[in-house]
Amino acid sequence: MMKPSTLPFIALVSVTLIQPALAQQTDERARDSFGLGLGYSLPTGEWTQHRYASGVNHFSPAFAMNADLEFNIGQRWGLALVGGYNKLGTNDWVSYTKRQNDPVEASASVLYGGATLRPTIMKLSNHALRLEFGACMVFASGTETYGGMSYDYDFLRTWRFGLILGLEYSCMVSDAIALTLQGRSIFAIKGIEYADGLSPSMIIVPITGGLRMYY
Amino acid sequence: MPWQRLATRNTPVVRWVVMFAVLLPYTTSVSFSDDIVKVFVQNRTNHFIHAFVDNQPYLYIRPGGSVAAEARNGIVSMRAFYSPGQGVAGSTEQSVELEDRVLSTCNGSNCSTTEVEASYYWTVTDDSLRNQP
Repeated sequence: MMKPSTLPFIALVSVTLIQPALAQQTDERARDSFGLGLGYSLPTGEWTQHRYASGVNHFSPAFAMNADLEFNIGQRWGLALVGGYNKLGTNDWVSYTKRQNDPVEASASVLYGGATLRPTIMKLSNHALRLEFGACMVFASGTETYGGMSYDYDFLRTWRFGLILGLEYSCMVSDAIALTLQGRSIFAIKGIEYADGLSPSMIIVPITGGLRMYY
Repeated sequence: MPWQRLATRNTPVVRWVVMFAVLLPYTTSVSFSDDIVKVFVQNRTNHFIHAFVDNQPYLYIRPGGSVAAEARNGIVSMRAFYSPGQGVAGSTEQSVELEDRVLSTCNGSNCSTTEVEASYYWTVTDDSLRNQP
């Protein structure tokens, strides 16, 4: 069974192989654009592990989406307002507690919004590869229900300053539309903060495929 | 240079974007309060606990760990139980009345007042949790 998250990649490869002549060699970098992507979010690092359930992920990969508004500020440079939503999977933790006969229900997510600079580092015909770096604010939140009591994850509920580093491949399929494949790393120092002092950094890597529309 | 292009492209949208980017690192939250009391929750059990002070959660407090919780002046409710998934169950709760006090100190005719912030140390033990399953 094919995962839904693989569909954007297949679509991207298909268009790249079958329709290379579809796009005219337009100077798309000279225009502003709006980008939209869907995919998978990969939380990585110590913060994803549960504090005492050995080998159990408290947070695991799940759905991701992002959007941006990019302003052309040079032939090879763009300045973008970016934002995204990353669901944090809690299935591993919930399954563990069920096996312990101590069940919980849990959900969590991460939002971010910021600004990035995007230099084009490679451009061949209608294909382009762009770097992305910038700053953002990261807000994580979550809730858990245990023994009939619901409570917020206090260690996730604060805005944090974060950094963004990413790479975007785009392929123009018409004068105004490009297909994109984007990998982005969002890094927040002390991204989560437990009440007793432990505060690991948070790293999330959303991988998304989508569209970029030029206007 | 892109910076020069950015400066010359003086549209309102670009100006807003630049302003947002410059101010982003300085965004922060500020809160003011003068009727706050401190509750120090100390976990003296052998397991992780969840504690709630005035319904504010302080989760996954490690064995031997402590947290400094804040509550409003008055009657402060506190509750703690073993964090889930550890194979143990039990909870405890209590309420205490906490008020900041104003102390007056006089030296001759010169008097000064000092506000003393109320605080409370709540020690959670295995015994206290197991007494109330």
